[in-house]
Amino acid sequence: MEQELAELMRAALGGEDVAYAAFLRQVSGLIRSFVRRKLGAGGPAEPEDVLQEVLLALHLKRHTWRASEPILPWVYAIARYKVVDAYRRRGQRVVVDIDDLSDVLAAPEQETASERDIERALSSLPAGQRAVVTSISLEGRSIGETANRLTMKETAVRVALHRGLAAIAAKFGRT
Amino acid sequence: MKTEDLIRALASDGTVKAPSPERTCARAILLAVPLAAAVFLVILRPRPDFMESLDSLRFLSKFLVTLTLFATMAYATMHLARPTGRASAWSFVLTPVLVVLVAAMEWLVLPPGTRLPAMLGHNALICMTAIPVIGLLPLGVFIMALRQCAPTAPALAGTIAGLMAGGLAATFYASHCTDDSPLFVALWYSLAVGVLAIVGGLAGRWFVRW
Repeated sequence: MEQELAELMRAALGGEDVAYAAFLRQVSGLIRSFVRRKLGAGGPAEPEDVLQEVLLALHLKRHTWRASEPILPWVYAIARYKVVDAYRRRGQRVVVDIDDLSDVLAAPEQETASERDIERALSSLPAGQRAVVTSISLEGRSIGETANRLTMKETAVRVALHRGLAAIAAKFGRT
Repeated sequence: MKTEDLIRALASDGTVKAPSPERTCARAILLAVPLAAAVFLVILRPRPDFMESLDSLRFLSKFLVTLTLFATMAYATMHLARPTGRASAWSFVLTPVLVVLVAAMEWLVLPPGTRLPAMLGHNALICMTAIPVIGLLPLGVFIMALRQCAPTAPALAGTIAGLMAGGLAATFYASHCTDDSPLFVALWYSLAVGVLAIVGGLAGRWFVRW
């Protein structure tokens, strides 16, 4: 798992979007079960919301992974930070024990649609960024198709997408 | 939004790449040093006998302490800027040990009646004012740099950045101040740097969260 994920991320940093999507999907499985266990029933936040927040953080902070070091400790450090953050926002303190990570496996848990935090963050974006992010995420268009439909240049679409995602991450859970 | 939709968006956003934390911190230092120098030269000057003072051990000991603080805190900041980063204990221990050691030597060398005057000095107020003022802009630069990284302990990272800004500011201030006794440094420099550390910790808490 460690080896495979590190390989995928190295390829992703080299510009391979397919490898990156595969990395994010695999990591989602790990993080989902980690987050569910840490939040428990009646926890401070919806696990799927926290998972999405972790994915955004992994994405926006991927330059803080050193390609020569193992990737799972980096992934879990960010996941733990976001779980602690979720508790902090609810005014509860939690200590996440590193030892708990040793038995984390990609449990085949079902994904649930989250209609909460990310939707709210998305709806608060400026219209242009919202149109681009919606087109690529919810409507499943590529960068090129989105550029055509919105009559924008591809570079402008890329910039709007990046800024939109960064703004969503910044707003996540702050409302 | 389903997580799969989010992943599609993330995977499409592959082009923008931020520099590594080390590079970001190095750039911040390259910006912070001239900023500190500029503020220092606006409010103060190196003392007139700066060159002659360079053969005074007491004078030089000030720079040994301030530069050690700056270097160790820069090192710790670079480590804490990564989610997996840990700051090694010795980087926090080194400067205090040095300060105490040099101050203890001074204590032994000075005749009993002169120790307290040497510690209180003549420039306590300006020291307590100038170091935070000189360090404030550099601290701002370091906080901005940390925002681009991913410290999982933002308040701690901000505190360390404050100590680093303090080490930088104190280095410039030391070239102005005529109180060279390590006893003065141990007391007033520590307090002045502590102000920046507290400001840094609060800034880390408020602005570095990601």
